[in-house]
Amino acid sequence: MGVKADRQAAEFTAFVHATGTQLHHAAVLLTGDHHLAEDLTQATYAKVFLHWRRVSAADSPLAYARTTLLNTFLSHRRLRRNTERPAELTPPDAGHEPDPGTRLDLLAALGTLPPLDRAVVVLRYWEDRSVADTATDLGLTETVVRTRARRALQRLRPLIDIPERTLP
Amino acid sequence: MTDIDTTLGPALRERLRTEVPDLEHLAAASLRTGLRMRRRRRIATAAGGAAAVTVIGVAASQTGGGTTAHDPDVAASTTAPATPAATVTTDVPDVPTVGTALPVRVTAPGWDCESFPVDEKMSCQKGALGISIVVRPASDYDAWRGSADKEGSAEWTSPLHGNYFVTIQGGTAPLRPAELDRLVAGLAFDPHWTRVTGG
Repeated sequence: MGVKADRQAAEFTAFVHATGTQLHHAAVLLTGDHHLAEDLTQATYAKVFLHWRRVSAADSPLAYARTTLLNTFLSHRRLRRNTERPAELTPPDAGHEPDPGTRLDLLAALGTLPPLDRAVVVLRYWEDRSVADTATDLGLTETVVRTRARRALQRLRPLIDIPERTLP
Repeated sequence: MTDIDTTLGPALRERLRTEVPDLEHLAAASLRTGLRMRRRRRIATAAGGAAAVTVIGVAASQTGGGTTAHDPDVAASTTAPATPAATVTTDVPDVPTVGTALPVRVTAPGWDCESFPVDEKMSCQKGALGISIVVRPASDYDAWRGSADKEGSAEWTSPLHGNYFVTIQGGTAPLRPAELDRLVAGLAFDPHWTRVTGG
């Protein structure tokens, strides 16, 4: 690589180090699986690098990366390259109805939500994004975000026990 | 207040507190993949630009009845637009690369394909279905047909077409026979394969 390319690579690597944990955690919540999250995060950063010159000049490269992560999760259930294809980015049982009365791990409970509802939950409750920002990030109206968030919480409520120590 | 809308966020953070990604690996792997994607895009863009030059040149010579030979200004203005496309290298918007530099095209309805000439394969999707079409040199044909492992891994193997043949490799689930038949019937083959080298 040339000097310019080396500088790009160094900047990009620093960006991954600074933001990787946050994006990986979001990916874990979206996919419900450590390995799928790694695939999703890596695919996201590869796309970010593809446009790095433009991304690095943007006001918020992290916002670009977060949007890329969400779009990749929602639109690429499987990576298109055959060698990478087996990596399903959505758990196969996503959206199923669990048995009433069952208590699930948080990740498993999230996995029962449709992918878009999961994305809404991650943005609203993990990223603490506002309804307006969540709507912008996902290309939805604010009404749709509110409806999906409410529906998701209603669905999660009977499935999970929030540990006492996490109460504010 | 203990309602889920106020406790979910902290609970999620607590749940992921011990989830620590390997950032060194993530950065290195992402960089490698990103560089590979840039390389593919550069090659595909160059191949697309070269194809555009060829098509425009052929069209000009056929429709102009020799105009380009007699009028240098027309010739220059006809071929000039192709040049920027052939020299764009990075940070360009997504462009369709279907069919560029691979000698096979998919015309079966519903299939959406993306070519990766440097990998000599095409990735195709139709709804939840996914397959790869791999272009292979004719010199491998006998070995391929004689190997149960190799041929058995493919959903379909084409006859020889000039200096190549193709195989259809299945995705996570095999195609239904009727779907496979429709896909095969919708394949269009060029008489010759010009392999992309490098990358």
